[in-house]
Amino acid sequence: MGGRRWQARRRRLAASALAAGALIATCSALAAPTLQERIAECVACHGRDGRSENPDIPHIGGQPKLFVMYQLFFYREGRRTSPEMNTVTRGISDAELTRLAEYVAALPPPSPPDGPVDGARYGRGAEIARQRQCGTCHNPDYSGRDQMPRVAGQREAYLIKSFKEYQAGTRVGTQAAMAEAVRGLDEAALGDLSYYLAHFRP
Amino acid sequence: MRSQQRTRTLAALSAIAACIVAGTAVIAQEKKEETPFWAIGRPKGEVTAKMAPVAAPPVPVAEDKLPKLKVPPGFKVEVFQSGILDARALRRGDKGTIFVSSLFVAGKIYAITGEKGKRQVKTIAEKLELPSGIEYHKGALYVATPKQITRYDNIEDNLDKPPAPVKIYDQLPGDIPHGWKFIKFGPDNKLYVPVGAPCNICESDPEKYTLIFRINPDGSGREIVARGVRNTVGFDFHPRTRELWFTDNQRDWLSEDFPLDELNRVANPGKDHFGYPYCHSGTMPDPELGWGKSCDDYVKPAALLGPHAAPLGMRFYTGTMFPAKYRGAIFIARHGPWNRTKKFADVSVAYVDANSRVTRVEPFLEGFVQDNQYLGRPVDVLVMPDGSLLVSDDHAGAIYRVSYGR
Repeated sequence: MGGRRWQARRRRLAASALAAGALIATCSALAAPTLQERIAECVACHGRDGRSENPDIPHIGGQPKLFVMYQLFFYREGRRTSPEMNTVTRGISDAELTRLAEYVAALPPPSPPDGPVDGARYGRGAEIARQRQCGTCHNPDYSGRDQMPRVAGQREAYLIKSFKEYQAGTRVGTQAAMAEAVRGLDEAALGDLSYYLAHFRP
Repeated sequence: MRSQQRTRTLAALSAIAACIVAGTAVIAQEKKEETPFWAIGRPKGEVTAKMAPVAAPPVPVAEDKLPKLKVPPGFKVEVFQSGILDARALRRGDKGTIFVSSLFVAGKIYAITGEKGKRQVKTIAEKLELPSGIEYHKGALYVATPKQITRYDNIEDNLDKPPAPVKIYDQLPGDIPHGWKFIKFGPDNKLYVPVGAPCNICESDPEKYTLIFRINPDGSGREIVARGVRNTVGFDFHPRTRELWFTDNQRDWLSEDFPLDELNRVANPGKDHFGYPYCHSGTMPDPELGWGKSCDDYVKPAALLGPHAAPLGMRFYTGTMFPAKYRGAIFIARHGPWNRTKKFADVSVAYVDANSRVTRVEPFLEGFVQDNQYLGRPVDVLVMPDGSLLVSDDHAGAIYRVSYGR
């Protein structure tokens, strides 16, 4: 599966992000990082065009600006937990947060992965998405709007992880809507839903 | 024999019917859980499908980018303080500190000290869960979340290192929907606390929800003051009659222009029922829960404040700076609708005559909406000792000051 390779790579990425973050924290008294340096931090893990190569790290291209602002804000305030993201957002100003969100929103949205699609899984996921009314908030094409993220073409593993965090109450949103939307979905259902969204074709 | 058989068949049939009913109830309940609470009852259609509570940006608007607000001739509006993320309720301490609460976004309590030009903003509490309810009383700051009420003693002397809060009341149901608070001490030295409906529209335990109660400052002696209240996020006491007046947010999704949110007066504490969930705006029985109910059985609103207007903080004007016609009138922050395609928001003024009748309601502070988008949304109003009026704005993260003359 190559999972171990990814994990190793993820650890390296995380370590470098942490190191970079620590460096930023240490040096910030001397010179605050420029916006370009902040952007370099983002793309180191999320990919130059906002398309991540790591299954556990989300694509960020084409996300609504307000959604990105909220996530950076939650990370900075310690209300969403990720050692890497908490580190790189430490001390980030409101103005930088806004400009980064504008930058990320302007990156191209991800396209679904190449290769054949498992029609049965896709269909099951579509049915769950219909029942749970995902398209109501995230738009019928799952492109997202305002504080609600684009989920079309998102990393499948990342979607599953996010759903589980919402179920466990460890991830917050601007409303409690997501916790309610995924309540009671089992492992298989979460898998199918994530598969569908990750492979979504309008 | 035959009748026995019929009885048995009937019993079987009714058992099946009961199962079907129970089954439907279960399905209905499961379906409910899939839908965010605010979306329950939403009519089908493309326009309504796009409606959701408006999320404020998690960054306050820079002072030079704040909305240009408009006031009647002779009045002046200025920025009192910018950079207050998610500014909600306003209270003033005896030594002049302005306390500001927040809600969904910030989860903080702020204190603003100092005179114009050298004001300081301190965060005195953070990582609180929906701490919108605050009150200052006899040197202490009271903070109410959906779950509990706490007290920070001698707060103004300890803004840099606030004392550990003392818990005074923890018997609140704690539901998130309409669980956030507005609290205020009455002239009877009791703390008034609302508990809203745990839903958009539903029947709930009337001893627990949809009410305003009062307690002693130590949390004891709970008494229900008003019933049939869906979600009040603002109230005040008439300076002369001492009666409780409150704003109430009516249900969502009925239509673009109905129901109209309410301003209410509690003439008979403990007895008055204001209609929710059976009657809306004093005139319309609920399309589902209102069958067999009459709006005549409930207290009529003192005034109607506009469709889905979200009237929040309100204060009787007790100052002397503004012209005579404003004295004894009520300033009401209308946060503005999310459950409506056409947006509006302002601070309105309701004129009250000597018989406690509202004679007119008109806009006072405007300019919060541009191109049908919110630039700001007023939340609370506070009459200052000099008679000026502070207005908080949770969307732009600012506090404005309205003054007259001089």
